[in-house]
Amino acid sequence: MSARLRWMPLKLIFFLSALGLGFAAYRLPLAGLSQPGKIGLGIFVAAIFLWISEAVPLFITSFVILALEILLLGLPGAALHLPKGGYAIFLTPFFSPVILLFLGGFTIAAALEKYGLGEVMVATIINRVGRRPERVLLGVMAATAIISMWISTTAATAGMLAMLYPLIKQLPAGEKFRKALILGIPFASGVGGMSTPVGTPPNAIAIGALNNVGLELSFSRWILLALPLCLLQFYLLWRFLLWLFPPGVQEIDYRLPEQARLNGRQKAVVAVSLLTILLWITSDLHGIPSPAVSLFPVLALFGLRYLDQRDFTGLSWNILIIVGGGLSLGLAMEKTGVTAWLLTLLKVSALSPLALMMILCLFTLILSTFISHSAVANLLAPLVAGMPAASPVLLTMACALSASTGHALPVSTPPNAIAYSTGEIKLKEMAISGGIASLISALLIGFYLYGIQRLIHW
Amino acid sequence: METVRLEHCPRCDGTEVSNYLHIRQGKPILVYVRCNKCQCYVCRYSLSRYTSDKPFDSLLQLIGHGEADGSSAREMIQRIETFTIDVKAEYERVLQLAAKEDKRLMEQIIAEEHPDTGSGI
Repeated sequence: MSARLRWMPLKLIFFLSALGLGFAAYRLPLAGLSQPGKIGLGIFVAAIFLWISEAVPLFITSFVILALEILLLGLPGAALHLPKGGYAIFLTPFFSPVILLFLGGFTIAAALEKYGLGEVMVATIINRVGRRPERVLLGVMAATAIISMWISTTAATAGMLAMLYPLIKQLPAGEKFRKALILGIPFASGVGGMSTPVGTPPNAIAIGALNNVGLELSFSRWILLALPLCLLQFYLLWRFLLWLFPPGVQEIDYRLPEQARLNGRQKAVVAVSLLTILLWITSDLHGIPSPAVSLFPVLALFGLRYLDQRDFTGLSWNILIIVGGGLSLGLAMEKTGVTAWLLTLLKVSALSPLALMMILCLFTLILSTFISHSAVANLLAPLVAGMPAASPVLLTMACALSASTGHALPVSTPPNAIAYSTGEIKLKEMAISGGIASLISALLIGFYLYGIQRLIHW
Repeated sequence: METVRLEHCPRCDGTEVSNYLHIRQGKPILVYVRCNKCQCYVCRYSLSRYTSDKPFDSLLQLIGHGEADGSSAREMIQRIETFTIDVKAEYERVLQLAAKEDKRLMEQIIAEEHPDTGSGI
């Protein structure tokens, strides 16, 4: 019997338990929560349990949320008393501006991958950093971070490991520095993913959650705020890995195969990608919203046949559904009053801005160590975006960034799982190094964004 | 139905063949098969997945091309754990099945078992 079939009964029990827990939450005699609110809370609880237990794949949880919203809240005569067809409000988050933004990012990622431009970029960096081990690690981490800004952290980690495994294996057995190279890849992919709105789903979820409550965080502002933080974080993680796993060799002689010059199609893809990034970053200047800019790479790359139908079906639609489900849940929580009710329970106004920021970052980190980063963002971002705090925008951003910091366990994030599967890292080593790295990152995010909040009162 | 078919040379019925992989950037890789005995063309098919004798390395390549985007870490661990075992177990099974070879034409097999695939002409 395959492993998948062996786990089926347990998954079914988890799935039914999620629905049972949701029903139990609905039946609780909670003061201050209306009938629609109780239903919204039930859906929220069921979603939490589904995301934690992974009874169904993450993207299927989004469809479960949608089905419950339509059946229990959206139909005529249901709790929200919406008119006929009113249930469509729960569908709109599945093609919201942030989904369109991500679609543009996925299109660029597909083209970079199809035309081998990721490999070109990586080889260009790695072959020019020199032979000293600390510089090789810097090159490996920099290349990973740069490609993770635009392609998924999972694909970036696997691609980098596939390219660099020969380099790692040529180091002597028992050489500690092998671990630094292996761990540097998932750490750097996390940092790279944080730096752009399209880098990783929690970023998109945060922007979408802010949009749900009428707040905006543009592409350029995200980069402006996140990039200095990511550079600092990157430097600290690099130094930390060198300190923890100091190189025992004087130099590493390794060269990746390099393409002499780009061909015409590669140049065209680079041009479209760079122009899109430029338009994204300058959207505040030219007035075209960044999600609308995302149509440009879709039209250019698919329209001019640089990408075909096979590439289109190969886009990561499941990630868009995961993000859409989270946004739809956030909308339902807001419409039913659950968000407001939960926020009164949390009494966030009693906390100082610094305490609130630090508690949020550390709490998010703890969750993201054990649960999917997207699920953590889906759970917390709608709540944080609605907080009556000095700056819900920065708090929501802190939540999204902290959700990408969990690196202590193989189950924390797929890049960690891939690195652990090489067999080079023991669980204890990952727990210690990843735990400390995560803590450094979360504290840095908290202090940095608190500092920004104090500085610009935003 | 689960069967195994060996590539046969249409001219000499030989089964010793060489595979030539035609690689063009951005296009599916095509495999041209040539008979080792009489050097004639046997067939051509397209390659969509490749797993070498080092399955973990092959899996890294697949994941690196976005195969597992959106999967959770737990799904990833399960996939990596089962991948190596699955490939080797499947290979052993194929060798067992080859004892009773499927004699149908490849076009017929595709039409009957995978009608949505087409003959690839």
